[in-house]
Amino acid sequence: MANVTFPFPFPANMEILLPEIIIAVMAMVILLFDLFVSKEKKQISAWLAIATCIAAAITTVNVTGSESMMTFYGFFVQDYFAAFTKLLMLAATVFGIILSLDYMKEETNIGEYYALMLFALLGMMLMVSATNFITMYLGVELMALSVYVLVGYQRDVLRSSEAALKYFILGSLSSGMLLYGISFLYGTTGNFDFNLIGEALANSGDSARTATLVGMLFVLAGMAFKVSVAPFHMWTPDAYEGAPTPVTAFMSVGPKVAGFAILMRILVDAMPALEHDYVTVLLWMAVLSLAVGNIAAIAQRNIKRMMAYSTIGHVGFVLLGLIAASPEGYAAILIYMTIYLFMTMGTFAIIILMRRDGIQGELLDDFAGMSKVRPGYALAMGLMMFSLAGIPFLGGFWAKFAVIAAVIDAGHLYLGLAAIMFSAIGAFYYIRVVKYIYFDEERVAFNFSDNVLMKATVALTSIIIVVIGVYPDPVMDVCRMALAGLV
Amino acid sequence: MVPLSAYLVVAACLFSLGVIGLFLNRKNVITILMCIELMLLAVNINFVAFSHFLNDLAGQIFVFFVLTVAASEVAVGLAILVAFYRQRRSIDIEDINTLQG
Amino acid sequence: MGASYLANEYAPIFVFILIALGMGAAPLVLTMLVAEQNPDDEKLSAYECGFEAFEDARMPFDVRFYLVAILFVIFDLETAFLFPWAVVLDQIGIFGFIEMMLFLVILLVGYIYAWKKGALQWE
Repeated sequence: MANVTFPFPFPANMEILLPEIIIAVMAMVILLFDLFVSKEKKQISAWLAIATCIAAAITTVNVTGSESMMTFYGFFVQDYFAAFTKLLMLAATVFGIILSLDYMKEETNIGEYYALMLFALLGMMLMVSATNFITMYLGVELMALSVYVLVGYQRDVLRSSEAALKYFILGSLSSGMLLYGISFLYGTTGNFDFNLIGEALANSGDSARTATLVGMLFVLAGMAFKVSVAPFHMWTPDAYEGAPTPVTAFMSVGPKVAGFAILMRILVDAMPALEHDYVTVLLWMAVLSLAVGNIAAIAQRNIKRMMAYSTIGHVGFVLLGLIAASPEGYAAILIYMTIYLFMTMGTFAIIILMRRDGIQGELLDDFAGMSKVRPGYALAMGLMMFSLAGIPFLGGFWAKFAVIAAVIDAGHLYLGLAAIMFSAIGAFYYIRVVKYIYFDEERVAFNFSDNVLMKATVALTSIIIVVIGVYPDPVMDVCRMALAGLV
Repeated sequence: MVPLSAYLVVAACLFSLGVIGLFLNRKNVITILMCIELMLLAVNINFVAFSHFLNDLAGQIFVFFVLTVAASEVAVGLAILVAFYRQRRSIDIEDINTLQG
Repeated sequence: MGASYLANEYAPIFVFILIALGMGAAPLVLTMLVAEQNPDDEKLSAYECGFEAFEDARMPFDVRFYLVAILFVIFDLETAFLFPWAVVLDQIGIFGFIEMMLFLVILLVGYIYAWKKGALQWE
């Protein structure tokens, strides 16, 4: 960044931007496409969006080499780590679009909806490829602004607008805090680049330590908001409940993956010198998230609110990987995120299938007696719940196992034990859902939607959860390999 | 010559005013939008001050991006607010109460 | 440092604030001292062309003003990037030029979108 000569040469390695360029161009094409076609053809934009994601996934794999490559004068990096997290986010977006197909049939302006999803995806991809706070901030904001609008997408539904308003207010507060933190890190080190900040902090010793710590705290708090870590989780239940359900599914995976990926990059590249300090902060955040997520979820009657608290709990587990601050810990985060993607998408697919004329299918009571009418879906929902609870030999078990093993290896035995305890408490409310499905009397007539892709999603995610549960090694190996770019 | 700390104190005061306004304000959502703007502008003071004293232009370039993003943020916020107003016919904070949590 | 920089750099501003406050306060204080005070209900009520006032002055604005304001804020900000770009255009070469053109094309897409959606029409 420092040695730029005039006039600018064309940046080298521009081809690594290709996935992002595809998504940006196609998002704008979909936006305009929606304006110029008749009402019947508007559904095509969903297929365009899916095709865009697939094309971006293929190019992401193609442009990634074994060495990390930079472009835009070192502002944008593509390595295994970025590629892996990008593939997770692309998968989350494709699932999100598939879940939207039926849900959005009755809505207007569907082109806008899919374009916004792609813009959010673009923001997340920029985030994980950021090498400095400028790129990261732009990515974070592109993602956040798109998701605010997606949450408030059903303009004629009061709770959707209200959820968007609450999410917007707290999200903006978090952006402000993030920026305030960045300004102090810039002030003490004179750089925005993660690696240069890391060097400056390692060499500076104890000078300006207070300002550095303030900066670190604010950056952590700002990012904690974005990934809904307690005590910065207040927006999560409301936003999850008010948002259209496919958006809830999308935002419970995509932004979390992106947020944790960039947190890993910041902590590894910029803050190794502050490891002792950030571990202390994250420790309290993790304990609080585990407590809030697993205990408050018990009181919820609405399954979307329950999933919100479940997310907070899972985010607490993911934090354990950051606290371990070791390659095993970071690999465990990637494993967790991969498995969490499938568990969450499967669960929300079933929740969306429950929606039918006049009934949202969001209350736990609505699930009562599902096993007698639709044993297939009931089995899938049961698998998802057991997996989320971390019952052995399903995918979710290995996710929890990996982070807890990493954090105990790093010397935080009590934190690992606390996590196991909270996991046991949390199992109660997941298993309660299974109880409703299998042991309660049917209360409302079930009338599931017949979308083939939705069924395929449920089947695919269930199979993946079981397969990973039985044979987790390949996924774990891929996740360890993905760390090559980071550590 | 005004020292760096003076700028930082001003920015810290403005930032705190923004945060306090966000939480203590009990009347109107538009005020919240102004508080958010105040926070972001306080951060900009920080950036410009650091940039000047470090003799490094990057901070001032960042300010441009922050300004632009702040504008889009307010645009999105106003749009959401208008959507909310059309449903609720009110923008009082007490009326944001359908979702309880 | 300390107090001296305050005195040196901000003295004119303090003087300015004092004068401004004085100019504002003087008419208020003078009328209180000089004029005869004899208020009644009619005198204190708001004057609206000789009618009784029929609604609160603090009515909500038409939502369409917000729409115009939002669009203005967004398209106004592009200038913030165009100015510095124009100043150094001869130094940043063809790449800088292409980049700004791409930026403008993206804004153009937004403009077409707003236009087709009817956001630019008052009715």
